[in-house]
Amino acid sequence: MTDFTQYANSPALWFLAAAVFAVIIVQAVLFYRFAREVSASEAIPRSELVVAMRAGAISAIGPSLAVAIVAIGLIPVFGTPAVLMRIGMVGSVPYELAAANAASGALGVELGGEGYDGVAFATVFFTMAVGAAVWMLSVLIGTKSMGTLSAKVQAWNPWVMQTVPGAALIAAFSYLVLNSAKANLLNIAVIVVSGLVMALLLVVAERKQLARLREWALGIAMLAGLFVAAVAA
Amino acid sequence: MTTHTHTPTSAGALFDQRINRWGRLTIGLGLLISLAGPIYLFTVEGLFPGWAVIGTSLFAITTIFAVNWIVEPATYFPMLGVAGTYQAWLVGNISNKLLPAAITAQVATDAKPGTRKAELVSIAAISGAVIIHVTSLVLFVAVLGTWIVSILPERVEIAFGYILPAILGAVLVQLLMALRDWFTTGIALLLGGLVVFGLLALVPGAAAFALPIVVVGTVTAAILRGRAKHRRASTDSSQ
Repeated sequence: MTDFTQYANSPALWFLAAAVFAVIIVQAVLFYRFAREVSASEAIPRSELVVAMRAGAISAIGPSLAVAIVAIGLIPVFGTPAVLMRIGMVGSVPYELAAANAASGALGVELGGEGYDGVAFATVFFTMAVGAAVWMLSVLIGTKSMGTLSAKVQAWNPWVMQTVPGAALIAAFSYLVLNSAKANLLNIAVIVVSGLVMALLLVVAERKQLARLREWALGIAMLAGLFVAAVAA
Repeated sequence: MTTHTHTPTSAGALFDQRINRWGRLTIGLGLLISLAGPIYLFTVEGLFPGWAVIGTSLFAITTIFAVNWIVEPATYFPMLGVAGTYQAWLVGNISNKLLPAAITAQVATDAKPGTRKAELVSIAAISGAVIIHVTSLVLFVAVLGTWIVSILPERVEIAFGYILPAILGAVLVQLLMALRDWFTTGIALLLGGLVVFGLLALVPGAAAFALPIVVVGTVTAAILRGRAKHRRASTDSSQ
């Protein structure tokens, strides 16, 4: 049996992992610059984009650490470059694992177990990559037309396009909260505490005119939720 | 705040054009790079498992993901917009990282969802989140790797397993307090409850449809109510 790790850590895969991150960073920088350029003609102060970027970065710290911890756990099965490529791009851990299990099932081996050789690793890696690639393909094909469609609706009935995004967000997060609450009592406790802390922070930010607090609100509320989990678990 | 949010100014048109061009290019590149890894292993390293195994694997993931592949990008599109869609489907982590980042930034800048300002603010927020995403993966996974897990107290590691409810509770409250749309919230919670505790309990295989059902149902209700309000307002003003 060939050891899969020599392939999983090959220089070519490290190079491709670096390329994935390069593409992600180039896109973020380009889009931010496009937004900054157009903001002037829309009479939106540049400082608001800086506030937004900071708020986005602060809010992403908690989830990024959580994802990193899970990703580290996957290194023994997929090797570091493949983990970086699959978790860094499109991937979310449950989807990747579902795809990986489908592939290893087709080969009749267990992930990281007996018979998980170079061929098995390559097959699993391929299946995960295809899973992500189809999503990207449908975005590649469909996004422009969805944009055109929403611009048409906007021109026809402006209030519709101002109703839809907010309603869709409320719907999505209501569903996600209920689905997460279903799991167990501690999930409910974490949801309630982080929600209450958020409410408190937003009220204080409003009363005391603390604009900065709203940028930190999600990070702080998340931490409060995690604290409850750490104490109770 | 102005209401003519998507004025077809030449600057706006140029912006849309650039976003589509570079969005497609970066997504396309990402797609090719992600396939290049396994194809390199198959060909150069000679690790090809044979077409039968490939076929079985692809069939298996198609049965798992077919609905998600089409429905998910369309479901998230109204929340993300064109630019956000290109960003989100390159980076992933949409509901646990990118949307929460965008919503927090919209609240911090008083931007109403559906406006040009909200769109630009989301791009900035997602870009900020992406920088943290990449930095943390490179630093913690690529550089420090397993060492970091070995020094992490077990309690902290367990606590991070609860990151999703910790994000979701706070984000929902943030949305509700910013939008103050109790009708839509009521419909969303009702539909969400029916789907989570009714449909999913009875038909576990319907999971891929769960989020789209709640989103489409709630949005439809919000539009119907908006139309009724709008009609009333226009007849009032014409009298």
